[in-house]
Amino acid sequence: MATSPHEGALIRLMRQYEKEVLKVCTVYLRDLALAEDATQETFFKAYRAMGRFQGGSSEKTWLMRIAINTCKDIRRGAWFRHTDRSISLDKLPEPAVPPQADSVLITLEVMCLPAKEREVVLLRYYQNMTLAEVAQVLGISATAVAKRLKKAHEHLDLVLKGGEEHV
Amino acid sequence: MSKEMRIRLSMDECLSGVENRPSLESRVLERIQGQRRAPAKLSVAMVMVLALTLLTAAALAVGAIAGWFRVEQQQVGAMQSCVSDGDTLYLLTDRGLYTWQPEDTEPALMLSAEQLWDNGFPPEALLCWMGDELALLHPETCSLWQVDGQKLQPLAEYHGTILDEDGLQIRSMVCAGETLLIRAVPQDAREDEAQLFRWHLPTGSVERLPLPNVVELCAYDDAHVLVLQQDASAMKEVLSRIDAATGSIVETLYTAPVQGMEGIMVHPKTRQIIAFVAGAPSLWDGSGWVPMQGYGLSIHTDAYAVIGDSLAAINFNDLQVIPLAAENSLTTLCIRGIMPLNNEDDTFQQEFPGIAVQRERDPALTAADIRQAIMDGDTTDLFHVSLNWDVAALFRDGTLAALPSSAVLEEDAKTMLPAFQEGLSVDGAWYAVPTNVLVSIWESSEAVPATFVELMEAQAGAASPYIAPLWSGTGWTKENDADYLLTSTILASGTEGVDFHAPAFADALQALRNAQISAETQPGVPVITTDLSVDLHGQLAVPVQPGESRVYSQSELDQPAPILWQVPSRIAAELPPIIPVRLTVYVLNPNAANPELALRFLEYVAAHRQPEQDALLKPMTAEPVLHPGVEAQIEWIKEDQRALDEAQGLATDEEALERRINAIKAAPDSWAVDETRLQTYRERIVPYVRLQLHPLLSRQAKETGGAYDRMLQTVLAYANGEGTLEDCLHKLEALLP
Repeated sequence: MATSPHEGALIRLMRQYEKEVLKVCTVYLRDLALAEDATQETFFKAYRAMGRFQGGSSEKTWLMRIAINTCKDIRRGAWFRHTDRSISLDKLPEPAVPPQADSVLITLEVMCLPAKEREVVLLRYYQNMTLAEVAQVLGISATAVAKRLKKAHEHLDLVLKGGEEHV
Repeated sequence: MSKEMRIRLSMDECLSGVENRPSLESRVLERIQGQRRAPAKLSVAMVMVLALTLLTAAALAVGAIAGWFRVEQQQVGAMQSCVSDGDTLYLLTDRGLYTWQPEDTEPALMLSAEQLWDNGFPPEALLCWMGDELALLHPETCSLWQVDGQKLQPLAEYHGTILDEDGLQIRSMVCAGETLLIRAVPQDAREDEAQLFRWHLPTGSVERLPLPNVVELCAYDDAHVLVLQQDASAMKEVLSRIDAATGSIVETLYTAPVQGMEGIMVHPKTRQIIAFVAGAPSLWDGSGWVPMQGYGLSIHTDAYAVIGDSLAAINFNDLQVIPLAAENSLTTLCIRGIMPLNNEDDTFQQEFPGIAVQRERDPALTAADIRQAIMDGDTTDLFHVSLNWDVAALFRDGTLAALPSSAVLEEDAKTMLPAFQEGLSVDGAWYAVPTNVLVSIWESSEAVPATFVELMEAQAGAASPYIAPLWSGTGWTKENDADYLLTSTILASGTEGVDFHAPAFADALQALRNAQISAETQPGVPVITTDLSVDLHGQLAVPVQPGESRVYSQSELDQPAPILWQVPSRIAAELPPIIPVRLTVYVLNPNAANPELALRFLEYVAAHRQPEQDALLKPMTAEPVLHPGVEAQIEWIKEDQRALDEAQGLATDEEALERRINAIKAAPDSWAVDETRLQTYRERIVPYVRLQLHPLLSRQAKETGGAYDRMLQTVLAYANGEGTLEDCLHKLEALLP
């Protein structure tokens, strides 16, 4: 039960965005346990910064920015280098319906992308953000976002076979 | 369907399980209300952090002793980097930028993480001391900023330069006048493949300097920088002073064996060069190193700095400031050899204040080196080495001392497997204390062929590389097959003589010849992977029961998942399989300067071995063990829940609390020693483990011209079609000692 307006706002944010943040962190960190830590940390930081959020971006953009930076902090930590970093869907919670092989390939391919490309794909394609919003989250220019997306396409085109529109 | 839609739908499909995860809402609220961190679930990585943190829990008390100062992660956050201006240490953590001076009892917050964030700065930035000001490099925005009190002022950008290449990871940065030298590792490259870049701030130009394999970098003065380069082929590291403007080497100062030097520092005020050489903090006197005394550092030190008369070193978990003491002012235990996997040097120092552990890294230490050191009167206390026949020979011929009588060590040894006890003792006297155990097993998507003959038939019929070691991925050639046959035959003979005329060996030899395996290696993914090691810690979805399997990398999605923990092919059906084991051990120098201290260290190591290593050594008495971090987590959860309930005037639902704790314990990766794995190890692996201690497997025997080498050449000659089987067997018999 919330005991302050900020806590009330936090609860609302969590109910609205928790799963989205968790999914982004899961693909970014490629480990569910770390992703849950990162998600918890994201909302904790959001709570602490709530008074300073002035609506200069959407709430989702703001949260995703915190989430991405939290994930980067975790990745940069020395202990992260000692973890088993093999990429596998085994580290994700089992879906109720087994996914199609195609979907597994695409998801694994996204998880295998270099960090900079992975984050733009996650935000642009998975979270349906505009280039400007992605740029705001990552603190880079929209041109830089477009450049990274182009590189990501080059990597992903091998599994995304013909017939798609150029995005 | 557009690409965007396909990506989104695919990920939704694969991540749909996330929707069913319990909400983290209550945990976040608890943390806000109780200000106590409650990790949602501890991954193996996190428990390692917590285990290390718990091991250093007594550090603050030690800080008051002998000028050794220590700050832990819990106090200031996870350490990222540090620099010094000689009087003040600047420390960047995930909670902010701190300062510390020798008279301070704790670091003072200069800029909080929120303040850094408000300026667009996450704490992963790099610190640099630029002559008279502090700077922060922000790799994500390719920018350099000046720290001006509470303000951050932009200084320069390198966006669009070669330093902005995708995947390039900046590791360190030093300033020389108006130039920054930056050490960066390209994507997928090793740390010793780092490149050096020069960024000239007035012009903004960035160039790559022609200095490869830079492992460390340190500012010297306005025009020069010290670099430590690794020459892997020569197994050496070279310390040089370079011209910051051109990257050219001005002076080569020192050459050391690989890993023989680290932590290059220059005092910002006195220009004194300091480094850890052969494990000891040492001062450069212009022509050589003068060892000082000081405490050994934690393993995995990330950054070093000089402050006052002390050295600062940080790793993720803590900051240590150790005084540079004159020689003979501290009691020092000297160790030479392989680096430990545990942080035992550091934790031993904390347990026994006033004792410094100085470890000279020598990853290639051999029995011959030990023998020579002893003959030269070397007073190193302990050697840390891989146990093989040559080291065991030092026990038998009296070169190494038997360990002094110790109830702790005897208790430790008596519950080890007999196969290990035999290797560690001679005539009832103990000579070595093991620290690490490597039990090598095979893995394949099919059942591994039961015998060598079947292995040869399968390998001959395989299109791609059939069998390859994990560490190289390069398929076995005929020579590898011959080596395996010979080694296994020798080990299978045990204490009896090797009988090359046994029908089993002759059949195996014939099969090797008939298989006509190539002498060249082949690329590809093997059917059988060798040299995997048994591990007992629990892992999600990684079963070891026969018939069960797991998928662990995308490249193997097209193949059937592997069956784990398979016993290697035996030479013949009637012979037992051999599972080779390698032990890393401490041995005592009979000339040890501090034999009693050495014994205390050995007892400490035996009593504080990692639970998994202990269970590998003593499986029959081992019990499942939770990760220390998980145990701590459980205690926090109980404490937090009861405190929360009490604050709200509620009675704790102990049953619900117990269910929550059981859910944590039900996760395999909560366990450092998992029950299922332990049981499987006992039943399927333990009966066949062997230390590879046999005179024919000694270093001398394996050298060119040695007995084993000549046996191998004899077997290969036969496999290549030369001579008859009987000739081959006679030659092999003749080579037996």
